Amino acid sequence: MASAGSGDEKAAAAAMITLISSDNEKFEVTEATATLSQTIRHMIEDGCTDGGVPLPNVTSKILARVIEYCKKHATAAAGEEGSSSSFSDAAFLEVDRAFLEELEEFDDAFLEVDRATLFDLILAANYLDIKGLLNLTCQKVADSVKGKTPEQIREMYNIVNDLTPEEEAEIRRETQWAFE
Amino acid sequence: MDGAGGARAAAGGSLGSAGSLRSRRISKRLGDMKGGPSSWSDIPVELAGLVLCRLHAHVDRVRFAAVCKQWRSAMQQVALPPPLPLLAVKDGSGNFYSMPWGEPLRFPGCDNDIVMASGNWLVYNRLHGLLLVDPFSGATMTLPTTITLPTLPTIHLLDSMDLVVVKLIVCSPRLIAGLFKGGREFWLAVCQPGDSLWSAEKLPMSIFDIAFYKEKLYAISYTQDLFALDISVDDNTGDPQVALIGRVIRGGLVYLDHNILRALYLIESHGSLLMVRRSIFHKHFHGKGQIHTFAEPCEPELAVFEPDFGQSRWANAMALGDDQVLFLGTCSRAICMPQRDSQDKRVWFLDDYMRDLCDGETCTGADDMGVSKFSCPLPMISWKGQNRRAGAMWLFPSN
Repeated sequence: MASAGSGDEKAAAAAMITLISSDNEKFEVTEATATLSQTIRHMIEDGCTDGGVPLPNVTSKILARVIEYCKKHATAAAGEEGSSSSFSDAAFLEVDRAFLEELEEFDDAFLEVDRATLFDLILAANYLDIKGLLNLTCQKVADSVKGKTPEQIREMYNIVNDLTPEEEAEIRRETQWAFE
Repeated sequence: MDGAGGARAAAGGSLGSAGSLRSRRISKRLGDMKGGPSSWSDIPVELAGLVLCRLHAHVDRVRFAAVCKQWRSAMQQVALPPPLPLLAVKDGSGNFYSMPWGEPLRFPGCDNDIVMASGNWLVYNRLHGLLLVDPFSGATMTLPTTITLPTLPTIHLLDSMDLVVVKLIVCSPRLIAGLFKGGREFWLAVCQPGDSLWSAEKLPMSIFDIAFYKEKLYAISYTQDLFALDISVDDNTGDPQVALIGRVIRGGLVYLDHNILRALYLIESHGSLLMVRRSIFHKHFHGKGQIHTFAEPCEPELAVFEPDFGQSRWANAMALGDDQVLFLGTCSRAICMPQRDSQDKRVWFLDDYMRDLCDGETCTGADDMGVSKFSCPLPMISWKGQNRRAGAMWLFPSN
């Protein structure tokens, strides 16, 4: 059984976890950063992270980006917790707003990636179960296809149209209004 | 089958027996994902679903599903929240505007010379009666041309200049309810599609809105009185009939300030019947119709109530569910939007109020109190106000 004493939590915050990418690169991160991933959190709770956590389908390039995201969001979360007791309500709100704005700016800049990287980030976020990153990346894709025709979307995402002529005809028949 | 996954987990670190089950599950997932999808066209259905449920416009979902096989199968497999409505403007342009961005769309064979829209149905006046058309599926229904009013002779709807249909509700494929107005009197009628006759009941007061809720019909008066009506089926003919139960909420709203018009709407949200009350200042009546939105239901302009049947009064609704977005007009609906953006507006009105709707004569500066909290998200869409026969309607695609 894991104990939930505050002393243990402090010790845990400083503990380091090693993540190993598919191309065998090792990344040292704090537990606070790593546990933004529910998958890794469960492994830590189960005590099976000694010797590093192998992530056989995340490349070092993508893992580096994911860690960058987790570091920023873990810091923001910790900062919010720390500030709540030492500021008046108004000042706290101000700090809170500043944090959120900074985080939003970070997220916007973070998403400035090519479509292939965006795809790998979605897969990694899903596989590592990082809710915030999964929401962020899926929203980016949704925003990019809004108001676009299927042809424009295929071009944007480098997708080959593999629908049969019969399927195409069925789509046209059932939803012609969407393609006028 | 999970032997290989378990072995990989054990290699990852010292494995306590208590944690082994979950570790094996996680590690199985690690193993499963190896050699996963490499292109957007084979994105796992569950992830495509996460993107799809962030597309709130029906047209965007339909186009998404027409990209490739995998994306099409995601659309077929994933349960999605209902899409946002389209706006049908009675301007003869043939355009329907897709919310939230207002992209104009056209439906082959459907002009917008409509009487109204109700749910997913467009309502047209045709020689043989009222014709309902679902522009998305092409389905149609025809409604009776004659109506029997309890104290009057049978009226042929198309011959009557005095009886107009104010609102229709498609309660079920076999039950349609209609609010009719003749002179200063209001009638609530029911019929079955294909029938020859509406069966009607006179309502005791001027009615602002009606709703079908838990197998009963409800009507709200200008004074906020709520009436309940029972629906039964004739044993011999199988035709639906409607009968007034009585006043279930005593509203008692008195109009003291003639500079304010109050519009009342009945909607169902999360299984509750709600009354939305909009207070509109005279100064904002210009006869031009536009979509106006509120970020939140914010008094005094906008208030939401729920019925307290025990006390026969309206109670302030505690809060709208976080995922609820309200579209209010002649036919209103609450839409569940779980992936709501913080900037998404909660309450959408079709405003086309005319000055002559009010009794008051003066337009003083009473509205300069900083209470106008609405915004106009799609200023390029406007229509000519048509008084109670509203010039624009929400059209809700069936999911």
